[in-house]
Amino acid sequence: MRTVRIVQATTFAGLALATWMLASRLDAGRLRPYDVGIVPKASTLRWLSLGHPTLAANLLWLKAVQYIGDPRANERGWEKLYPLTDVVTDLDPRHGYAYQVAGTLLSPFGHVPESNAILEKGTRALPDRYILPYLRAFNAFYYDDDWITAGRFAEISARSPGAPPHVRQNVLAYYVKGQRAGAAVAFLQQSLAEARDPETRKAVEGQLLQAMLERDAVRVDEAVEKWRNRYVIGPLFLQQLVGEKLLPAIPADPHGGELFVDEEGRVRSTANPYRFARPEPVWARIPRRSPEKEGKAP
Amino acid sequence: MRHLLAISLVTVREVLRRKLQVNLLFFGVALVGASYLMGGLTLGERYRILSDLGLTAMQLIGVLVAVFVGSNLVSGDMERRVLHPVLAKPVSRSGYLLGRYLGLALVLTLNLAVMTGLFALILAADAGDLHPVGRAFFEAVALLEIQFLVVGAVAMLFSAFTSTTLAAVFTLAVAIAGQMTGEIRALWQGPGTWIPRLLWYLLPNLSALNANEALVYGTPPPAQAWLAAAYGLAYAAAALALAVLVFERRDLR
Repeated sequence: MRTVRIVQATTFAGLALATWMLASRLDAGRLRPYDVGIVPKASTLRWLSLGHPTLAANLLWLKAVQYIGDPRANERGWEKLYPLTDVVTDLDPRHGYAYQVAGTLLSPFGHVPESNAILEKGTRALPDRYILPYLRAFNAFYYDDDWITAGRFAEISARSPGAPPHVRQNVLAYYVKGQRAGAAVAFLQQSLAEARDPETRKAVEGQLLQAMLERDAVRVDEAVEKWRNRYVIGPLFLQQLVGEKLLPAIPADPHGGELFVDEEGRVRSTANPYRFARPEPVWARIPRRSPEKEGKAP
Repeated sequence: MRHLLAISLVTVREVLRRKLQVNLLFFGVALVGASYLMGGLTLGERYRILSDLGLTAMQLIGVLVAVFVGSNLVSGDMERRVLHPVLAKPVSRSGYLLGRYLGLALVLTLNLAVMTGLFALILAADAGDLHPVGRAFFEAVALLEIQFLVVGAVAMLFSAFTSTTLAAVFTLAVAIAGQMTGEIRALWQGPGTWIPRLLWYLLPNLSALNANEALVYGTPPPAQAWLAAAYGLAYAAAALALAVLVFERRDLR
């Protein structure tokens, strides 16, 4: 009986040792938790999830988080992030953070169209999450030099519940820089009509006056430019522009002061001389990136 | 009624002594605990992972308990030859079957209560207060309970006319298919749409009783969920009625 037990114990010990030795020879280096192979289709995962699409979305999201957290992410590239988050948000369209993270991470690494696509998808799916159109607006002006689209998405963001008041200022700035100050005026007039508390009304009124100034000043700026082309130097008085038929009339200063031309040839108000800076070309705003993979960013 | 309660209490004691049930419960507790660790792997919105994985772990274990314990109750008694002495007493076949089911329901409720307690503790500890353990949480748990009752009733039905192994296999297949009937009906287009329609009515629509999304987003389940709850209870009752019908006619020799 004792011999049998010794044989059994020896057999077990031998098998355990053999298993351990085989395990130690397995190439553990090949098992990289950050790697993403094939991204499954949302429809397939929906079937496999057995009625739990949010669970499938959350498990895939954990995979996406590992992919994002790869220490060698910049060398590896970010090609799989958009497909991953697209499937996650197909399975769970209310997964707001997935849209936000993917939208934020994709654009600096040259995947601006994918970033735009996921942010627009999120804007459609979650109209109460202001940050998604806000980020889309940022992409539009920062990477695409498209101020009008930026204004349009900032407007959507500003209208979302919970949007901070500064988003309204972004709408104004984007539309003005996109030569659409009229759109900013229309938006702010509506915002003013909807404002309930005195602080908001005061802030919107200030922004509306600025938008009206920008809308009118642009026409005067153009007339001044034509005058300069004609006479090399600028006009001494703005009324000269009317006399020369470059303007039908000098618009009133919305701030209640007088309009004048500064040294740079831009029209300003004596009551509030602030004007939005002219937009910089896109190449002047984006810092150069050294790694080749990141060099794809415009 | 007295016989019914006596049989159900015997069932509870018997099931609690079984290692399978205890093992599954232990595994369920471990899974709910593991969801806490998994929550740490995410980037923001930790509650989303925690609640979704935890609830699914509870569902998985509860369904497995209902399948394996439920399918063993009647057919197991027949295989062990303990059914005859029971039926020799003034206990009707239907009373015996319903008593067994009642016992199974108590066991499933007990299981769910243990897992729910742990799950609530984890959610509250993670949030630092009790706000995740609100209405949405208890409604999700209530829908899970109904799901277990449906699977348990299906297990009793199969157990009433076949062997333990076959009953477990059939019940597990129905439990899996029951999670897919909604998808099948929605996706099946073109000719032969009567097939998914028939399956929709024959199989229990268990996916209608899933409240993961409502729990993740802290919203009350849609009004349809309560209709689904009534449907689940009606389905369980119908399955039990059929089980009684079959069991009454079964030759026990």
